[in-house]
Amino acid sequence: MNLSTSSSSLNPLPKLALILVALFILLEVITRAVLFPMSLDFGRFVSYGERADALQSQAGLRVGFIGNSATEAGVDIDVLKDTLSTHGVLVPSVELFLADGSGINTWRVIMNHYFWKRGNAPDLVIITFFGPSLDDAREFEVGRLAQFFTDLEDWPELFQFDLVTTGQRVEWILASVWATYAARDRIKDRVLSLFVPNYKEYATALHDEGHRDALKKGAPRTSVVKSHRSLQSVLQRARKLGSRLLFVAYPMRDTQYTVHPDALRLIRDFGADYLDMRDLIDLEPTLYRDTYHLTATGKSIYTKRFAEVLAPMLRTLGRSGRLADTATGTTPVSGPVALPSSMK
Amino acid sequence: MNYTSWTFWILFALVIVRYWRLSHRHQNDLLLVASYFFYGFWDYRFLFLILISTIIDYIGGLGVAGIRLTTDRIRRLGVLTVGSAILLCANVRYPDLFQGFVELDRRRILEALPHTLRDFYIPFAVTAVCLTYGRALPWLYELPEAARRKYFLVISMVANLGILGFFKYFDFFIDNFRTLVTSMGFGEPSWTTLGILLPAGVSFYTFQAMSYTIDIYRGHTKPTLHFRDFALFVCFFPHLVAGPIMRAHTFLPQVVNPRRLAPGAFEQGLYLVVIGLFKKIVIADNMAVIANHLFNGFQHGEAATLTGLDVLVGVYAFAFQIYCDFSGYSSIARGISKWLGFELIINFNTPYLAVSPSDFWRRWHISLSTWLRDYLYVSLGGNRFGPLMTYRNLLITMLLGGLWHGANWTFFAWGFYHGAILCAYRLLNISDDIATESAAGRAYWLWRVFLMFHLTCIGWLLFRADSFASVWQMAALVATNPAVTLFAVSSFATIVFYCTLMFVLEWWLEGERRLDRLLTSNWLLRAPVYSYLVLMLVIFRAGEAHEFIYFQF
Repeated sequence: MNLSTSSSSLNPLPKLALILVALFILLEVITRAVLFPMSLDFGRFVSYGERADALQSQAGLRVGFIGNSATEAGVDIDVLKDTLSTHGVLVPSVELFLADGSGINTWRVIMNHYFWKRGNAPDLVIITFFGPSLDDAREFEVGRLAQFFTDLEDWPELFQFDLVTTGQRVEWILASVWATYAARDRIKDRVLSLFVPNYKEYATALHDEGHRDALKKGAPRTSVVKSHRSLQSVLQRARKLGSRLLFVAYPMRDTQYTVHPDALRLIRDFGADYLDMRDLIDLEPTLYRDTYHLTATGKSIYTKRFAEVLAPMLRTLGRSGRLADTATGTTPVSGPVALPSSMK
Repeated sequence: MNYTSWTFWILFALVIVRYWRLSHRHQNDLLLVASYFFYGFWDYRFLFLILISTIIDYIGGLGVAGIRLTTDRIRRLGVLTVGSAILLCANVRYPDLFQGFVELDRRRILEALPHTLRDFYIPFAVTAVCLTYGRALPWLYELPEAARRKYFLVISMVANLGILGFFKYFDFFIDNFRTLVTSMGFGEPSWTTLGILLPAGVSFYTFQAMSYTIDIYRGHTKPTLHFRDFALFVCFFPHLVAGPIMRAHTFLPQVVNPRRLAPGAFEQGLYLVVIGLFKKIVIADNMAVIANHLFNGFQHGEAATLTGLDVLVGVYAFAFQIYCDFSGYSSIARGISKWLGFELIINFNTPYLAVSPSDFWRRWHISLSTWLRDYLYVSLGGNRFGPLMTYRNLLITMLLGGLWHGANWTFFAWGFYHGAILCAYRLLNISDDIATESAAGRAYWLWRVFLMFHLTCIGWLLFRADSFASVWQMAALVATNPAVTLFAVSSFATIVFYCTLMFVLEWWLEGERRLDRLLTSNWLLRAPVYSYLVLMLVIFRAGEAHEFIYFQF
């Protein structure tokens, strides 16, 4: 076999380059015209701006939920409103602003993009987290960050806080201007689900296992060095713009985690509220679909309990958007559920 | 820094933009600086090892050829060595030092500098060796020719193998010797391993440096007087950490003589880079997820739910992972070398289409297998002293080839296994020549390829498993538990999805008997292939990037 790669009769590249460019333009059109509307996530992200504006325009208390898929599987807005109503609380306007697999860095840009940059300041922002989600992350889903949660003028802050490696920065620039590139993981999943039997279940199992292996090796995928610059930024902005923040530690199935003391200290120092739901509810493992996500029954039970705990807090939250300082014990606590000690 | 990182490509773009505007001498200087910079990204301290290897082989090569260095040059080389030892090995904490200067913090600057005697152990030792060697050189030059040639060769071999042995095998041998002494009832010795970090690519550049001195000794090549040229020969960044291992007689002239960008070199380079990235990012990294599931499961004792079919599919995934990982690296190395005007040898030639073990080793990691053949197998006597000696030489060569990959008994077993199947095929006199004109001939060829692929997979099981216990468990599962699982079915479909078209392409290239056949094809054929490769690269890369496997060797 001739192993040489030297040849003299090479075809010129322009035709091939033209074909590639045409192919990518076609793909870009398909991604924007077909895939984006098809994707539940993308459809939701596109609506966040309008929903944040609509929430701002509501009379009465305005509550925004920030979190990831665990919040989606854990908080039922209808149950929440019903429970609050039965506890004599004026039913607030509620909107969910969620992104799968996200943590504090993504939540910071979501709040920045949809709330603060647009002049929106909900009276209460409830941030549901678990594990190390309040620690600065080192890995992101750059695609959705670039296409939905940030724009090109955000680069100084992003490059300072979040996208610290050259690779992440290049990816963010590419994903900002190239929707196909931004959506490549979703395109990949859709194509593979056509070819690979039980793809979703299989991919989730492998992903979870990879995550466990990384943890065993002592190299967690997020927060290699624990820092809380994003959390601090969120707390600073919320205080400046008059939004009350409530951080909710979410109970996971069969998994105990500790919230980093620096994160707790920051929350306390900035006068935000902290609620450890792990102390307040004991959910059976059967109420979970997997480690993080609740079943429909679990969702209802969790929301009900959460609303019971939240009710006295909302009662004190005036239209001014300020809560009395619960840590100093000046908050009038009433109703069937006393404000728990874990709420500082 | 590796080929799959954006940082590499940005820096490489800066290098190549400047490169072709420079004179030949300055091109070499730029490549030398770039090579040290790229390597230093991993761990700058190990640059000292490359430098030591370079200086010893530079002096050794000239010494073997009977060329004396002037006292002034010897002194300058000594200063370079000791200076590098102080800069790189005296425990200077450069990030702190830099930060200290930025903040004008005197205390921080002083704390970043070496301040204990221990910090200077390596520079002291290096100075002592330099002074001794410097004093010995005039004496070595005065020796009779045969003795002088031998002495310089031996010094080069001892130094290179010493570096390799210490960094790669010291802990392994201490560990095993301790186990042996303990098992013999002498009590547990107090020796401890040193926890030595393995410098990336140490096996590759030491083998390349050794081949230079050996080739001069054998009269196959001539030494270069230019130290920087020789330094570039040793550390040329495209192939520094994972080969191909180049020989002096083919690569040194490319360094020493002016280069030009041959017509078509850009297209060829682009083709090789795209194919290489596709193999690594799309196939190898996606296969790694499946292979890791299997092998990590056994390593962590979480393999209770796995079946024989899971093992089989996991081993297939590893076979494709390691091939695409390594050949992908070689392909990218060749591609970017072409852009720089260099020609590296082909390291892989459709190895999974081999029909026998000897055919496999003519196609797999060609630069290492030919190195082992020329410098070890032939030196041991090759096949010149009858069948028994031939089998012995094959086994020794393959055992050492296995151990070259790493300090682990599983690598040793892998080498032994390949030596054994080489001997078995030789003993049974199974020919590689298969007439494929008839349908029966093609079927026989297919059977031989299938058999050899599975023999290779057994080898990969030994290569990848963490222990013999895991190998045994996996083999037992394959033999006893063929149950079909979700993992096996989904993984198999994933392997088919990612690998099929790549191997159809390789099969076609094999049939066409030219690896670059695609480059000369009609654009109507090339367009869909290139579109497929680029699309897969953009969309189907793995969620997590993995280091190239051979970096650890």
